Amino acid sequence: MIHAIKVAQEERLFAGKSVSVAVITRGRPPGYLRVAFSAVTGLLRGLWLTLGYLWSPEAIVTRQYPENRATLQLTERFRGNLRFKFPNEKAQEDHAAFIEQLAHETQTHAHVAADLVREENETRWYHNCTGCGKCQEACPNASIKVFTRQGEILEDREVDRFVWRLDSCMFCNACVQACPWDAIEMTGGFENAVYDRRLLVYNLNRLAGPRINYIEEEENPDVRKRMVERRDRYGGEVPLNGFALPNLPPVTTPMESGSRAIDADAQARLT
Amino acid sequence: MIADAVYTVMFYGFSAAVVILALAAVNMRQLLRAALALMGMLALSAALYIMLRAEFLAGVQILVYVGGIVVLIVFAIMLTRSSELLEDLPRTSTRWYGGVASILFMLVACGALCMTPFPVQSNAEPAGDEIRKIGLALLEQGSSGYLLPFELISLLLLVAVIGGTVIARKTRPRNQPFTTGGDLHGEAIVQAARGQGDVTPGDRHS
Amino acid sequence: MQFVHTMAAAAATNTTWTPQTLADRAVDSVPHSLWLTAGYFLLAVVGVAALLSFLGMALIYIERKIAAHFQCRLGPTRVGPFGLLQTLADTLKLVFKEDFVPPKADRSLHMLAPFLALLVPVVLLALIPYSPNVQVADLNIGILFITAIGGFGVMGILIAGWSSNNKWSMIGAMRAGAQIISYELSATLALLVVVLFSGTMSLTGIVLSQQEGWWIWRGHAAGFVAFLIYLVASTADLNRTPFDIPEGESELTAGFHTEYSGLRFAFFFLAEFINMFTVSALTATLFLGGWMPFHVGDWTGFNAAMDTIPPGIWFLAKTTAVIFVIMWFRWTFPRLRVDQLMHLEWKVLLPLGFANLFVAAVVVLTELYPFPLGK
Repeated sequence: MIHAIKVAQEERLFAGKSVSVAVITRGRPPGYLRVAFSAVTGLLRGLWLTLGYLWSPEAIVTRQYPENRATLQLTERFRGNLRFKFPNEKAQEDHAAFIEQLAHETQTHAHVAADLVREENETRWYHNCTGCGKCQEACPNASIKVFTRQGEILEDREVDRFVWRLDSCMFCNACVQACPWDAIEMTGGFENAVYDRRLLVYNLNRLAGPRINYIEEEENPDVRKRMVERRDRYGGEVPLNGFALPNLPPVTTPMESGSRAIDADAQARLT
Repeated sequence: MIADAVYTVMFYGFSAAVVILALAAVNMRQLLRAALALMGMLALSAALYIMLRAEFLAGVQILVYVGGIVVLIVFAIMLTRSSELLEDLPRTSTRWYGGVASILFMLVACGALCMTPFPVQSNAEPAGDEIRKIGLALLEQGSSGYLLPFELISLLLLVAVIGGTVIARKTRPRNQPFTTGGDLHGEAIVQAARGQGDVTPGDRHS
Repeated sequence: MQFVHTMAAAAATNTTWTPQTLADRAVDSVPHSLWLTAGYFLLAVVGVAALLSFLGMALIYIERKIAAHFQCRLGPTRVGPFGLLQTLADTLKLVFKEDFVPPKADRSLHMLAPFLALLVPVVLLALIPYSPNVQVADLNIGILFITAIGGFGVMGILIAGWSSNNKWSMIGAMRAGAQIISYELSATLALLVVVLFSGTMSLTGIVLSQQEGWWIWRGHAAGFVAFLIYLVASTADLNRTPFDIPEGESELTAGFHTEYSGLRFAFFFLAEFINMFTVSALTATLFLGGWMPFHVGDWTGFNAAMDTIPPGIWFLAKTTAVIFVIMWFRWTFPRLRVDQLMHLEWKVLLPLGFANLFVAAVVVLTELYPFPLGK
């Protein structure tokens, strides 16, 4: 109910001292007619507001998803698929795009070079992960398993495979917050439907090896090459609760068409 | 005439259903089902009234009995009973007393019905503005009016309403001031700050 | 207001209406051909059934669309153009769903309750005058019957809650029962005002009595207040938001129909929406003139122009307007608490209704209202 509330600062004597006291006075409760009047006007104001919503089409916030797929903009705070951060990726992607543009303009086959930049260049996949396992500890669903190995060059633990189980992830973002090295992020990818649930468990890293700064401190390109080793998206054993499905061929190579293609596609666009 | 035949069949059908439902209302061991059977019986007797061209009576029957009394009965059952509870079977002596009483009542009713002359009006047209006539008769003072019974019944209902209100009224314990609760006042806060008064709501005027 | 009165006082409409219901025609046809009578009977049954199913689907679609736009959404868009076939698809889904009865429920009562709940709107559909010639039957105790038959609806809800053997259903049913019984008082008091004004309980009679002006303004303030009271009280009778505590989702899952599924759930749903239609139609009939065209005073040209619009359209327009207002209420106002609900009825609406009835009686007694019927 609408009581008039007044807050005043007053000097009062308190234990012999003058103390500043906040005095809250609640006015006389409003009379019956006044309450009735304000109730009716309040209801009418509400009706007027919703009528405005009904009247104006621009108020509609609905996004019609499959149709607007090409122009879909997800908010920055959207928590979709977990992903490794690859610091060199942006620059290389720009480079590749530039080469493609050039190939398109000059009508040459230079886009092969762009593919090379995309796929063959290992520096693209240098990551921020040290394999410390903080994310694994933070994960409430045990959806992350970090396999580490003993590095040959640096002689220290480094990440071998970073396995994420999409099927048990609840996208709480705890792993991202727990990461001291800024190695992982949540992207806008959400189109995860697959026909084989084993496809939902995969490696996030593309290279087994130390964190990017340790690699780039090394001057010798040959040593650099020896520091890292390629890792497949679906390579290696499936961790955690045992996920072997009987009578099915093992998933070793990624499916080229269908859901994964869409997934990669969407990731590229939505991040 | 087929229409007459239909009418007769409907009359006996409704009557039979009324009797069956009345027996069910008495004999059902689940109280709620008994109440439902009672509701069906009352509604079907309203249908009989409609066939006798007493629409107002039928409407009042449904309004008062189905919409009022049976719903209240159902409310009472729902508030007090569990759904699995069955009523006790009556004792043998109770059955005997009840049977004798109902047979006696039936005899009296049949006797009264047989001895009362019901003049059959030939070409009886249904009374046109029935409700208007009923309303006027209820408020008429003369020999054809029913003002006194009408007012007496309203008095009875008033007494019932007041009685119900008194029974349902909340009583508060003695020696306890009636408080509204949650009513804080600036002075009380200040007094509490001084350590002088205790801020029990409702005590601020003392 | 007064201007309208004086203008309307001079009204001299030339059109005379001679309404004929389906029941009248059937009775007239008895001496000629019983086949014709049976045909009229069949027409009434089929007509009400068709209206029932059509209204159910149309109202649910409209409700969803309007609700969506009130909430800055789009509503159904996928099934059919503009989502028009959405309710059809939903109905099909409900028909083919399992009709589940909980193991410890009172089986026969559980199955009976939806029919009891649906009985009232179906009967009411047969009583509403849609147009002078489109009405199944016109009872001369119309208003009395309409208020009386509400008891069956309450029973349906109470039995549904009881027989489900579920605490949410039970609480929802008790709340619904208490709420409907309480608010029917106010609704009836508002209806009595119209009965006082028009001097008849027959719905067609009430429509005819509004030839020179609708009761919402012809009865001075009393008519308008009665209209408002009836609108609020009947919204509460419908168990619709802001009075939907019997099925308050946040507290009671779904209230009295928590345990219902499939076709029987659809029956409750249908009953709710048809009830909304009948309440709107009754509001339109009693306060807004029903199928009677809009007439202003002695503007004979204007009145003649209004008469060219068919009465059925008038009825439909008024009913649709009231339906829209009820939906508008639903998607604007928050739900009341139980105590607020009872406070509104017993401490606000009921005294107001009694005072209004008294004022109306004084108005009628002193013939203050402009058009004594001359009966």
